[in-house]
Amino acid sequence: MSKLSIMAAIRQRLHVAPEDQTRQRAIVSRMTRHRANTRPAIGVLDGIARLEQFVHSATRKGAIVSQVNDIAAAATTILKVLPVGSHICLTSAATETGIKLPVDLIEPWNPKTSVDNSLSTCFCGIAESGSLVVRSDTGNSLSLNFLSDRHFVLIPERDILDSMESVWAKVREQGGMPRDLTFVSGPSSTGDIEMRMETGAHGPRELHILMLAGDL
Amino acid sequence: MGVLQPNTIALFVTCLVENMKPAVAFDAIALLEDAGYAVVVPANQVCCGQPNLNGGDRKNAIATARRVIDAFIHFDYVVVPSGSCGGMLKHHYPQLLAEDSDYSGKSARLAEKVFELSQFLTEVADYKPSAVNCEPVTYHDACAGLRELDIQSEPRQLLANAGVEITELEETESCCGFGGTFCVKYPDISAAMAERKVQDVLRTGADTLVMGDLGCMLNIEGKLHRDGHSVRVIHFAELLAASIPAPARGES
Amino acid sequence: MDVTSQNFIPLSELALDDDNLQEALKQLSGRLAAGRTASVTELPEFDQLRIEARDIKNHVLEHLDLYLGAFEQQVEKHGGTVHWASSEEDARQIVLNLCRSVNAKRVTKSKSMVTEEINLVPFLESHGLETVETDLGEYIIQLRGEKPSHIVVPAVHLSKEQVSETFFEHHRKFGFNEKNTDRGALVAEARHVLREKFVAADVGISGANFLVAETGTIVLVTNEGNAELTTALPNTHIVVTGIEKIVPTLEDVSTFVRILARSALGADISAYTSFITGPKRDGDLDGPENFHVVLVDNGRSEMLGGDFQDMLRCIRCSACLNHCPVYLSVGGHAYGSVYSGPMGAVLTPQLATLDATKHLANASSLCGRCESVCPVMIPLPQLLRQWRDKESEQKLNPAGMRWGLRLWAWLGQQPAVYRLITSIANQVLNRWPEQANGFIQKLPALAGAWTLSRDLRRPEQGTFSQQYRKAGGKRV
Repeated sequence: MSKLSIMAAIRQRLHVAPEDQTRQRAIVSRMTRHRANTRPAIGVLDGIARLEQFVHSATRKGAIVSQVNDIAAAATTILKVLPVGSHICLTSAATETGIKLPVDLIEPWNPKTSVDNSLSTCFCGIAESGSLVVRSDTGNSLSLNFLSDRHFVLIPERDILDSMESVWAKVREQGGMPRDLTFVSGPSSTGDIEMRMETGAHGPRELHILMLAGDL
Repeated sequence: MGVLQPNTIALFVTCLVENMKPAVAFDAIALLEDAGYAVVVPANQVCCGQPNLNGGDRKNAIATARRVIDAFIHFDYVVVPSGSCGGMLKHHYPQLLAEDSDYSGKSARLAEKVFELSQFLTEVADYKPSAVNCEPVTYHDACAGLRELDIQSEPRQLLANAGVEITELEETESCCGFGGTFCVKYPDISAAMAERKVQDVLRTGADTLVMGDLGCMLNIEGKLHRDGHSVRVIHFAELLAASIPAPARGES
Repeated sequence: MDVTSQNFIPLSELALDDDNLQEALKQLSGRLAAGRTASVTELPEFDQLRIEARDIKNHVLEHLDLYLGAFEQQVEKHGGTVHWASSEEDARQIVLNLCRSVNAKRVTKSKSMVTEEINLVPFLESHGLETVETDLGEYIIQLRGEKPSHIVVPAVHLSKEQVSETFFEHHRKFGFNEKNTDRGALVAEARHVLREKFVAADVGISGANFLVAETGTIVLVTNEGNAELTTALPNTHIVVTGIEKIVPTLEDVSTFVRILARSALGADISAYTSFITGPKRDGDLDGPENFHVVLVDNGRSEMLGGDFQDMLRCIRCSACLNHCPVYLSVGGHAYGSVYSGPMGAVLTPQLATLDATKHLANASSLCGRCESVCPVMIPLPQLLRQWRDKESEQKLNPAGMRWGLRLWAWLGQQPAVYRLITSIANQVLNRWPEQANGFIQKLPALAGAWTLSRDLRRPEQGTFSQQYRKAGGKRV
């Protein structure tokens, strides 16, 4: 059986015995300690510096970041960007924020269906890398993040964490990893043809981040 | 052998200097003496063993290493006018002899005394060369010296002290294509690499190319000459020693 | 692993004469190498991260059996299944069986070097499964029937005109009746065609950049978003990955996420970094019902505890390729392996045979640039030397070379003989007939390879030893 032979091969090459408890304790200790390795300075910022890092990092990777006061201002921003005549699909989590968008613009979400525009919320943000963290649960379809041409995301400023390590702490607090947790750090892009960057390879061509000063 | 003066340097000449351009060794001696050191040349030196190490002949590289260690370990300093041979003695010998009960300690002791020429002149001797009058030059960093001995600022410091301006290459960390036997085993790839280096040199507009390794020198100079370019290619020892006043070359 | 590395010399000749390829390689170096330098310079902690990344991998390798066991436990806890493949045949068969078990007809695939290594796609297609690569570069070369020429940008050797021709040939049946030459338009065309494939797929196959033992999570790093569409839309997701990809914790994988995109592309992070843990759960709006991880050995366990263990740290970032003067001269196809550049020169002989791949470790000047940019500090030149040692031991290199080195070493022990021979050589070269202005233009035999493209300066009259003695130099 392949597992047995692979394990046996590994142990034989490392000259270890399966019953060796010291090794077992070493790995359990490491996997439960959750000790962070070195975090860069840009990953341990607070306050204004943290928000500035987020905006800077997200923008340089092609996201369009707007800082808005509240949900109404977010709606205004979205409407300014939406081309005339286009529709927008909201995730249920986005709908629950109470954001007011003209009903005739809203289209319902269907699985595996591509849409022109989508609006979702997210789990949190990461200032260090200018990333949004989206999850497969919490009322947002994961695939909708990737099936729209233009993706709008609402994120309260207070949900922007400093680094990945803070994300893991929050994930563990809330019961562990979901099926899919993705860092979205800009629109979709590819450099596969002649090393020149083009957006919209498979995911959204545009990523609009709406940072709310207040809460959702 | 007789009693040596303190601060005596044993010069590790290197095969390429020995056979192709002895001037580099004479100029190295002149610089070291100008810096206030006595220099001797151990008679029985041959090769550092690098071709064997790189050619899949580790066993003989080790045998050569032992011999070189024996010949040089008694001196205060061992100075090498080449980053690649210097790297062999300082960086590779201890690794090659790590399992040798007798020589592992000796190789470590030798390594402490080994210096590539520019590193000795700057770090140990704190040498300030006399002013050299020449147009801006460009400089090629030999890979082995760069990677194994971290030689980068030292030759530049010496040149700056001598009032020589450097117009840097665009790619200061790209290999020239020598690589020992690589250049004759894969000549077309080597030539392509040499060609890129030559184009980089020409783009600087400098009419002198300076470096610290004979292997690179023969390679780049040979390519420049074949392609009809008149850039002068010299070892930094030759450039800097040119302005040392008497005594004449080769006399001790 | 199938290779054509024995053809390295003719393939590299072709490559050196290929203007399209040479231009492409210039772009690669100009963008990715320069990008890495800028990206790394702006992060003062980068070197510290490299050290920690190396140490994490070394720790994992020393405990690989246990971490794999822990990973399997976690995957199963979340409702997934782990399969173990000793060989590439095993791996292919496991994947095929899994596809058959769900009556799959259509498969989408995101980029995975392991699946290239085991030649999975042709195997699945030969068994009637439509298998579409969704990474744009992989898609392009799949249409052209080519192998990747770079481990991160597989179609780097192609010009946009070549891509345009390929799309025009294959996309007409999807309604694209005009040839697009604009890069953006070509990308949009591929996006449109592949969108249909994503949605229609029964099975999505991915690789994994990292496996996290603590949580049973696989990590996918892309810029396109194709990995997410490949893995979230179909009903079955199969992960094919090498056993060495594992790291202990989410904190540990964070270190690798920090160094991977910087080393590969010069971006601080890729557009999408996905952490996938098991199949669809209650409350999820989408996701696969079936989640499988195929752990592939295929020669990796053999590297443990031996001379090449350090190579198992590799995270397939391609920094070594992008900085290698040999790779940048001849491109990836010359190596005859899906793994090229320095990492390919070290890994391919292990996965294939040394006899077939003996050129790879030799076609290097050992400049060491690869090691200096490797995010996990693999001593690549040292590993290349080790392959050269093995070739000598197995007498795979030319006897003339082995004897030449032996002779050279012997001369090294006989200084008097050495000096005699070199003084004669000095005379001979000084009187050499084919020379002008102090430069020799043609040499015989192996040395003739030097004078194919360069001159050799005539040596000075007299060796150093002769001149030094004549000048009364003190000898000790």
